[in-house]
Formats: sequence, structure tokens, C-alpha cells
Amino acid sequence: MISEFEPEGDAPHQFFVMPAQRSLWQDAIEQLARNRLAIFGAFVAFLLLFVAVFGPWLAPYDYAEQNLLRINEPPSGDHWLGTDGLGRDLFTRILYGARTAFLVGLIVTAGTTILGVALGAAGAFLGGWVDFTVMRLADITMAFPDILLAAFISVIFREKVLEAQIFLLERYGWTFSEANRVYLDYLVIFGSLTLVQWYGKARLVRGQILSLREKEFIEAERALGASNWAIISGHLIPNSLGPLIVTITVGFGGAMLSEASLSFLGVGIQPPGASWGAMINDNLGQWRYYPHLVVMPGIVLAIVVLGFNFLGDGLNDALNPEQRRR
Amino acid sequence: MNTVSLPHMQYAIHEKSEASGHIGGMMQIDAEHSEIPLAPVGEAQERPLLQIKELQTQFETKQGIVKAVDGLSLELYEGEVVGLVGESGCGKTMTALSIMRLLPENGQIVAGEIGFDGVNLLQRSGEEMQRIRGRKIAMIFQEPMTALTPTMPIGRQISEAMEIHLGLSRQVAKERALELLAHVGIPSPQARFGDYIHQFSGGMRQRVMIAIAFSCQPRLLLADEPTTALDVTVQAQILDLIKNLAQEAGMTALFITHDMGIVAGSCDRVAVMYAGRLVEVGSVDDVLLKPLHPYTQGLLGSVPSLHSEPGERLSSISGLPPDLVQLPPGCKFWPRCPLADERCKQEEPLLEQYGASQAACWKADYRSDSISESK
Amino acid sequence: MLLYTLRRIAALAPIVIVVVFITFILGYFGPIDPVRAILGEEWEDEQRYAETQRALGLDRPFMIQFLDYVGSLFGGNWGQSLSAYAGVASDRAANQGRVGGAFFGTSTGVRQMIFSRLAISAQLGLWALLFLVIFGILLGVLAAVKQNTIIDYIIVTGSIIASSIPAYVIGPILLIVFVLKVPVFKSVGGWDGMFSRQAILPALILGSGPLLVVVRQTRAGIVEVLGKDFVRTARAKGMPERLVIARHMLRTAMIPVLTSLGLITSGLLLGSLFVEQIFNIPGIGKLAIQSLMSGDHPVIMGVVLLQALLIITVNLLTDLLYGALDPRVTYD
Ligand SMILES: Nc1ncnc2c1ncn2[C@@H]1O[C@H](COP(=O)(O)OP(=O)(O)OP(=O)(O)O)[C@@H](O)[C@H]1O
Ligand code: SF4
Ligand SMILES: [Mg+2]
Repeated sequence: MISEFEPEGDAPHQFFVMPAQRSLWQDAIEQLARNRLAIFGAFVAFLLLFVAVFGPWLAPYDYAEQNLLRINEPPSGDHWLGTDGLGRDLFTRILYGARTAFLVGLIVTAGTTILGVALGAAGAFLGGWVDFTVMRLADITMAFPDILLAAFISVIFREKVLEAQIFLLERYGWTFSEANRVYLDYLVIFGSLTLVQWYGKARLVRGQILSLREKEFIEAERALGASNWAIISGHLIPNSLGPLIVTITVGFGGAMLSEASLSFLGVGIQPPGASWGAMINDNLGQWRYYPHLVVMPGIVLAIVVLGFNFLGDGLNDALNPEQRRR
Repeated sequence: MNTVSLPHMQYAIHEKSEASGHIGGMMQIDAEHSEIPLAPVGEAQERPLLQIKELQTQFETKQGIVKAVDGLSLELYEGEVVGLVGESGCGKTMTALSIMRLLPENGQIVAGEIGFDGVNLLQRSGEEMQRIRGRKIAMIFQEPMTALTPTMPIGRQISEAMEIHLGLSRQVAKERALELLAHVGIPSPQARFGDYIHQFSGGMRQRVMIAIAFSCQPRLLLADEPTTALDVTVQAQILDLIKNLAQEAGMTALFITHDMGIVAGSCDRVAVMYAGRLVEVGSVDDVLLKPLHPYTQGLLGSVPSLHSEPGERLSSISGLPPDLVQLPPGCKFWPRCPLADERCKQEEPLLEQYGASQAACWKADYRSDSISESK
Repeated sequence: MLLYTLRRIAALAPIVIVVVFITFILGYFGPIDPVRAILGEEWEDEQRYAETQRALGLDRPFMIQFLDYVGSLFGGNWGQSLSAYAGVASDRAANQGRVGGAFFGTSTGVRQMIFSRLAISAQLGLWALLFLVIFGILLGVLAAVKQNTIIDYIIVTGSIIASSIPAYVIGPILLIVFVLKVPVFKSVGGWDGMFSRQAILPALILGSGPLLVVVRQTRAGIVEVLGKDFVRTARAKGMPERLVIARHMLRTAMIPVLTSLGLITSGLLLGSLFVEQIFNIPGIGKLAIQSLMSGDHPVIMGVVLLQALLIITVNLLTDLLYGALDPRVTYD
């Protein structure tokens, strides 16, 4: 009748029945669907995509078309959101601004992701001086104030790119942005923002790889003869994808915001290109007299930035369950 | 044998059997009962300092309602030391935390009364409770490693409560804290006053904990397994320290433990707990020498030995404690009880007087007879 | 501790050098030729050009110029604003684009210019920091204590909104509301000192940027300690709840907040490009934009350098303070 008596109770075990295993992605999607703010964010993102693609067909006017007889008009039947100081239709310009914002978001995010993933992975896999250099570069980039640095770089870039273009034109008679200077602006913003914003993703990817490498099951698999590629595709990618998706979503919103900021400061998109930031800056001097010219693009920008932040936040809760806020 | 039965003990048992009349009925906390009628009127010193009636404490979990404390009644008289024993998970800590009204977030006292010094603690406001905690009722916790704040010097942790409760100035409170540190056996208190908890060993931490508990000279001490987490060599010292300090102050104490040796060495009376309720209550001499309940007998081992050293493990009982979410009808102990019969599975035994002690067992009658006969 | 500090400083030295180097490169390859900026129309005159170039020391090799720059930095000389040379730079700014305007102040030494502006930005930043620390921590604690209730939800969502909307969107909107619709403020813009009414709106907007970070981290920190044993002990001693939070929870919970608060502080002290632009506050952000638009490279180099050095210093201080707050941290 005497058997082992465990003084530290067995009773609690009965309270912790493991729930049935379900896929992380399935869970994540359900979790996301329950998050109303994230749904709002996703809606905003899709709307932005739609407007960016179809904006020119939706727009009632041409974005650069001036009508000096009808400047600074309040919203009316002809001009839904009124006209700006050059008589351009504000609604049209906001639609085109979406195109700018989305394109910049897309290329900057692609650029920082490629650069960040490449540098981070190189650091983690090659180690040694490569890793050292990458990490110090990240430290140094982080030390600079990013918008100011991006602004400074973009001013320099613009000059250099212009010079290069003139050179190409004179030498070979070739130009890539004669018709539309906006592509030049894209290039400048893309370059400066990528240079300032790559390090977050590099650190993330490096950290993920290093922490995975420590895991015992990886060593075990390696010992069993699993190839590097099998480990990368089987563990690394699925494990890093969640955090990377979150960073990319938040980064996308961040890149659009940075474009608006640079344009607001006057070093981003140049006239007559349409950018929400530049529209705010253009009309800021007249906020007392024509408040709608400042408020409209501002509200649109705020909603878009907010949408991406809500989406990123929801994705974070859904994809990184270990840090999910209960 | 080392305990002296207190004179009012006999009385306690009468009182108890009266109280046990309500067992079974779910008592809702009644606002009109702010003052518990404490019988008998007259001799104030015979009034229990702490009177728990039909306490029910539950937790909401995903698996259902956990009945951690389920209809527990217990009195502590002025100046006595009562041991509360039972296996891990039977609800000892939750009983103490119910008294302090410091249950975890998902826990709730759903029924019962906790009379302290004539008032029902369950009807005190949060602010009133705050003034009672530490000042009138102090508690020493099970886990000295985590129970103290890591980012506050230990001296401050002792003195701050005195500033709040006794209205001492910071300087005076500091001086008293230094005295207390010396009193609980921390060498060179002046030097250690500003140290942080990670610089202390487990035993030293528990001494700090004790200094905190005694700092405002509370009337009731709840000591929740103060030595379980410590090295065997330190256990006896800490135990003696608490015992001596409590004796000096004439303090009433509830001593929660796994360890019958500690009960034998430190307590006047003992209450045995199983699955959230009491199964046996009596003087230490009675319970340890003549256990009525099969569970108590199991805890004491087939050959009860009061000479077991402190720290020695309890003897074994086969089987597991019941699931507190789905308690079976009848006696909660029957699946593990060698004496169980059909009646035990159907009807729940209540605490009743058998000789000098109380027990909740259908077979206690027979046991108490046989024991007294064999004696 | 001292040893640790010294070692940390030694490790930072190379980074500082690289930072200075990058700053210098930015200035060196900057879009505007200082000689042309100074000479204006006359720059085509080759002799004048060469003279001026020599006078500025710009004819020397790259490395020599760099070493000279580093050397004078050590001597406390951060260079001369191009506006020292007859205000040509600002003329150019007027042609260049959107932002123009004359320079403030009289001194043309970069360091003097920067530090006189820094004083204004720092005052504004101090208000913002005060707002941030008080409200951010208060809201974070409240959200944690009311965890998963509607209050928590409102606080967190509200902070996301407050932090997401850029200053150049909310700034004009608040101006329109509080000047045109509900005239609380009559005049806006400019700087009348720290205690003028004009400081309120800019400070609020500046402070709301990092609000989310502070609220989130405070909330997470408190939630983590909420169920800890030592909190229960503090309550068992009979400490009033506000003291339990302030003495026992906050300090432990604040340690991670501190890390980000350091960086936030450096950002706030240097003011904001946007807030200063919108409210026309002659702080360091405004200076940066002006000199950027006018091509006044020495000044913008100085601002970038100052910010980078400040960020590095603040990081170091945060690390050291971390040890002071968390007694478990030892340096060796
Ligand atoms: N927060 C909680 N949520 C759900 N159940 C809980 C909670 N806290 C305690 N319990 C349950 O309540 C029961 C009583 O716990 P309690 O801590 O009082 O046991 P104990 O007798 O003190 O045990 P030990 O000797 O291990 O300290 C246990 O079964 C435990 O699982
Ligand atoms: S009532 Fe029956 S089952 Fe319960 S302890 Fe007594 S004999 Fe055992
Ligand atoms: Mg316990």
C-alpha cells in the first residue's frame, strides 16, 4: 500500500490539457480576422493599391493641369476637394499622390529587404570580419538621425544623378527621365531611404539565423546529414517569415511616411509631381485662409500611415504568438 | 512531547462543533453580518482572534471552476499556534491568501466569513484591508527567492511598512529596521541595510521576510511553509526564530506546513486539510498520537513517529489528490482510503467531535473507540 | 564600473571617427560648390575662383582637408557658415526652391550657431519629455492595471493614433482648430521662451510622437511584474496600491523603458525638423532645413554630427544608468 508520494503535487497537471495542435498560419489568420483595427488596416492597404494602379483612370482631371481662373476653391461639384493655388484639382492630386506613396513604399521596401536580408544573412553565415563590418555599419547608420541624413543624402544624390543624366545625354543622347522628372525623384528617394533604413531588417535576419543555429534540433538534423538548404528552407525561412512580414508591413508604412516627410521638407518629390507631403508643404503658408488644402492631404496621409500601423500591429499579435498580448 | 495544550482548547472544540452545523449550505456573504456573533458573550479573551466560517475560494480556469478552498471552518484563539497541514495543492496557501484578501486575479471568495477581532474581513473595503495587512495580520511566504523586490534595498523594504502603519519618520523607521535586522540574526545590519536581495542567501532572505512580518507587531501571523524552500540545515534555525519571536510577542499564528515534525515541535493545535476542507482538527498531542482520519494516519505513516526530525518527508499515501474541478460526491478521500465502503462513496462526512478531536470520517467513531480502548 | 565606462568609451572611439568621416564625405561631395556659392555670378572668373578656393583651403587634397576638419573639431572650431561670406548662400536658397528666408542671429561660427539654436530646441524638448514621461508612464500603468479591458484598448489604440500621425499633419490641424475655430491662441509661430503659451502646442505634438513606445513598454513591464511574488509581498505588508506601483513595480518595470527613453530624449532635445518648421521655431531643426536648402554645408554637417554624437553619448549613458537602476547588473 505504500507507494511513492510526490510532495510537489501532481494535481496541477490536470489543469493543463494541451490544446490540439493547429497550424500557426491558420491560427494567425483567424486571430487577424478577429482584430477589427487590422482589418481596417488591410482595407486601407488594398484601397491604396487600387488607387495607385487605377488612379489615372479614376481621376477627373490631369494632375498637372492648371486653371489659373479657379485657384484655391473650396470643395464643389466640379472639384470635389477644391483646387490648389495653381488651380489644380486637389482630388486628382491626392489620387496621384497615392501612386507616388505606394511606388516609393514598394521600391524602398524591396530595396531595404533585399539589402537587409543579404547583409544580415551574410553576417550570420560568414561570421568573422564580414559580420563585424555589417554590425558596425548598422551601428553607425543608427547613430545618424535618419530623416535628416536621408534629406542630406537626397540633396547630394539629386545633384549627382542630374549630372550623370546630363553626361549621358551629351555623350550618348540617352535619357531616362526627360519626359517625367518624377522618376528621378523616385530614384533619389529610393537611394537615400534605402541607405538609411536597411539596418533593421539586417539585424532581424541575423538574429533569427543566429538564434536558430543555437537550437539543438538543428544540430541534430545537421548531424543526421541534412543539407544546409534543407535547414534553410525547412526551418529558417518558416521561422523568420513571421517577424519579417511584420517588419515589412510596418516598414512599408514607414517608407511612405518618409517619402512624405522628405517631400514636406522640399527634398523629395519636386513639382509638378504629386506627393501628399509636398502638398502639405505647398499649402502650409495659407493654412489660415485655405485650411482644406492642408487638411485634406494630411488626413489621407494620416489614415494610410495609421492603416499600415494597425495592420502591422495586428500581424505582430497574430504571427508572433509568444509575445502576443494576452 | 513538547506542547502544552492551551486552557481554552476544550472550549474551542465545542464552539467548533456548533459551527460545523452549517456545513453543506452555500452561505452567501451577507452584508448584514458585518459583525460576526461570537459566542459566548462575556469573556473577551475566549473569543477567537480569527474565526473562519464555511470559507469557499474558487478559481476560474479554462478547465472549469477550481474549488481550492471548499467550506473550511477554523478558529484561532489569542496566543495559540495552529498548524495547517496537508499535501501539496490541497489549498493551504489559498486559505492564507483568502484571509489576507490577496488572491490571484482569477481567484474569488464566493462564500463564508472570515472574522478577525470581531469584524468580518470579507466586508472590509480595500482601504481598510490595506490598513489591516502588515499591521494586524502579517504573512511570511513560501518562496523567499522571489518574494522580495529585487530593485529595492532590503532595509527600505522593512522600514517602509512601519512608516505607513506606525507613522514613523523615515529616520526612526530606519533605526527600528536596523534593530529588527539584528534581531532576526543578520550580521552587521548597518552594512547590509542598503544591500539588494540578490546579495542574500535563501535563509537570509527568509530572515528579512520575517523581519518585515514582525516589524509592525501584528496580532496574527500567517507563516506559509516558511522553511520548505530552504536547506535542511537552515530550516531549524528559521523555525526557531519564528517560534521565539512569536512567543516573545505573544502572537497568534497559523503555521502552514507539509511537515508533521514541525507541527509536533511548534504548534498547539493542528488542522489537517484535504481537497480544500478540514478533515481533522485537534490538539497536537491528540492528533499526532491518536489520528482519527485515515488521511492523517497516512500523513503520519503506518507507524506514527513523533520523533521524526524536522525536514523529514511525510510518509506515503497511495494515489493522487482529487481533481478540484470535478470533486466526487461522498467523502473526498475515498478513492485513496483503505477503509472506504459504499456509504463513504455516497455521503460526505462532516467534522464531528470524537473524544478530544474533531474529524470528518464515517469510521472515526470506531477508530476513536479502538484507540481509547487500546490505550 | 569606471573600468567598464572607459572600455565602453574606447570601443566607441572608432565609431565616432567613422561618423565624423561620413559627415565630412557628405559635405565634401555636397551638391553645392562653396566657392560658387560665395562668388555668385563671378564664379566663372577663373582667377577669382582659384583665389577663393585657396582662401577656403579647398584646393588641398581630400585627406588633408579631412584631417584639418577633425583637428579643428577638437579645437572647438566646427567651421564657418557660408553665410559669413556675404549672404550669397541665402540668395541661392531663394532660387532653389520652397524654403528660403534669411538667417537668424549674427554669429557665423557653426558651433555658435548650433548651440544658440540648441538652447531653444532643448527647452521645447524638455516640455515634450515632461509630457511624455508623465502621460506615457501614467497611461502605460493604467493600461496594464486595467489589462484587457476597454480602458486598456482605448489607451493603446489612442497611443498608436497619436504616434502615427505625423507632426506636419496634426500640427496644421491643431492650428486650424485652436486658432481659427476655437481661438485659444491668438498668435502662433516663433518662440517667446519656454514659459510662453506658444510652447504648448509644439511641445504636445513633439511629445506625442514617441508616446506609443513609452506606453507600450511601460504597459508590458507592469504586466510582467503584476503577478510577481514580490508585488504580493508588498501588498501583504499593507502598502497602499499607489506605493506598490510606484516603489515596487515601476522601478523593475521601467528598466526596459529606460533604454528607449534615452534615445527618445536625444531626439526630443534636438527638436524636430517638422514641429519647428510648422511653428516657425528658430531651433536646431529649422536651422538644419534652412542650411540644407541653402546649401550651407558646414552648418548642416555640424547639425548631423552633433546629433550623431548625442545619440552615441545617450546610448552610453543609458547603458550606465541601466546598471544604476537594476542592482542585479554588474559590470566586469
Ligand atoms: N491562480 C490559480 N488558478 C487556478 N488554480 C489555482 C491558482 N492558484 C492555485 N490554484 C489551485 O488551487 C489549489 C490550492 O493551491 P494552494 O497553493 O493553496 O496549495 P497548497 O496547499 O498551498 O500547496 P503547496 O504545499 O504546494 O504550497 C491547487 O490545486 C492549485 O492548483
Ligand atoms: S469517510 Fe470513509 S472514505 Fe472517507 S476517510 Fe472515512 S473511511 Fe475513508
Ligand atoms: Mg502553498
